[in-house]
Amino acid sequence: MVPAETIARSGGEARTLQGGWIRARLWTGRHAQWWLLLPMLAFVIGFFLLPLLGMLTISFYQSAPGRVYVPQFSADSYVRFLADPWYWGLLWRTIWLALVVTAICLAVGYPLSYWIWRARGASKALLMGTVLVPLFTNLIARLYGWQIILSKSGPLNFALGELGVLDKPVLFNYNFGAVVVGLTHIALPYFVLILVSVLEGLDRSLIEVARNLGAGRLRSLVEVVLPLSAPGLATATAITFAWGMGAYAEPLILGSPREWTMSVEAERQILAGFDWPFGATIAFVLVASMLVLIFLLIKAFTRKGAVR
Amino acid sequence: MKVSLVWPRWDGYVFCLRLVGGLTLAFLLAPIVIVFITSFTAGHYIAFPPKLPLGLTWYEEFFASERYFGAFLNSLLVGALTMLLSLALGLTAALGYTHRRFKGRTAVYYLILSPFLMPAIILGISLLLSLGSFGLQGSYLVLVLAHSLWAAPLVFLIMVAVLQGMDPALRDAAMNLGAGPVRTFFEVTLPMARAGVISSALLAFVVSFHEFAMALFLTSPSTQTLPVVIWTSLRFEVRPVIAAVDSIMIGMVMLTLLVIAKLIGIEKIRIG
Repeated sequence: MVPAETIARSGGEARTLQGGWIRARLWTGRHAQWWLLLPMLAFVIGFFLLPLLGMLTISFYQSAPGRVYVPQFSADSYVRFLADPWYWGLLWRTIWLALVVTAICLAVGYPLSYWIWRARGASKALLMGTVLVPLFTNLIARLYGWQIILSKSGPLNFALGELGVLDKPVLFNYNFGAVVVGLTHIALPYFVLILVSVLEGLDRSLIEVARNLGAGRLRSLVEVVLPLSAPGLATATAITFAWGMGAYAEPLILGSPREWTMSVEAERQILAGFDWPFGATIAFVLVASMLVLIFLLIKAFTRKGAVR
Repeated sequence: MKVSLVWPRWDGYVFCLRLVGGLTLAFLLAPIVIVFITSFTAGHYIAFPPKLPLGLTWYEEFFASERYFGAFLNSLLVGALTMLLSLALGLTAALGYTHRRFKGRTAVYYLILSPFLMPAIILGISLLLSLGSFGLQGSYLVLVLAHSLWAAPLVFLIMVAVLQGMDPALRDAAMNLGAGPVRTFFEVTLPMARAGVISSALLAFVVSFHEFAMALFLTSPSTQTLPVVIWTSLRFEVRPVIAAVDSIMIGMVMLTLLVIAKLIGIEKIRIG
């Protein structure tokens, strides 16, 4: 039996008559899209979902000195994590860092994205290029730059000294503020790029309509553009928050041990302590709390924003 | 004419907007400019403003150093392989996704994008823990697979946007005129989507070239990529050679951006 859909598509029928039957079936058959999606889906399942499951499994194995784990069920790692207030503090510090960075990205990223969206021609290319250069620059290189800027002999101290604000150099490095600066620098270009892409999808004439109906520029921004971009804003915020919670290099290079995050601890347990079950537990708690918080974040956005 | 009382006609906000935007741009460029300047330091001591005389000492050291230059070649290799794999996976998936509406389409979309939302450190840990027992740790293959977890969804995202912007009637016309699906793809779809293919390929390369956290977990000393080597140097010694290495990488990125700008226009690059 030839499916009705194949007959309906004359293109497919032509191929069938010419004899390229299998190829034609692959493209016009009822499951054509699945053949094309198959490699990608297999890849995501095989190298993303299954390893995550594997990580979850290992987090329920037994830790053993001298070995990375003993494959025997045990919830010890979770008990160890939940019973120790230091780890609760670690989780909270990780969340707090991500929240602060996300808030800053929202505050400065939205105006910048709006500006880029409204710009035209050469100035637009220049603005986009300025955002893309840091995005394409190695993360370590950028953090190294901040390390130099914030150091005692760095340009910030030099400038403030020349201006007479400081009479002796101050160390701006190795504290919470420095980590926030570094992490914001990493996250902001992604935030802006996502937001600009979302804004590009909006109908520019909506602003013209609002203006023609008598709304000022500010009002057209707040009452038309902002609500319309809320879903995209939610995506950008969610990604920024997720990556903020995964912060690893920033606290290590720009922070003191007080700023170290869940990722740093997970890495130390796995690569330095060879305690895979406990490292996996920390990683899994991080992923789980991240997903819950992002879910809440998106819910909050769609409740307030959606005027679609 | 009705003028709103609640919303004053205040256009000064445009100025504020540009002020915030301008300061943000300066913030984004600052560390890159500083690294670039520092790379020309001649001595061992990093200071600002740099101590004269300036020189290319550290660039010479980079090209002479087996460790740095070998890592640089590793990065190029992994980046190129990631680009090919991501392009193959992302492009076919985008074709399937835009082929027609079907049941479960939204679920597929989010499934494909889900690795991109996961922090690199989690991807690195889960791959190390799961594949470690297959003896794959430290091979180029694992790193290429890991980087493709980020790069392939990115290619998919861009190509879906590009393909959805194309007129499906052209594809159908080609098929009606007797061209097979493969020929239609190579002679109609691909030429039209050329700009998107090139820019998403370059993006995939760049994502891999700069990725560090996954590489930290999944490389051995012989397969270490440049970011990993810089990272170890940075944690144990701070020398201007790192600035020189960084500047070379930044230079390559600028070149890539110029190529994209020349080919398709810089504003075509998008995420999300």
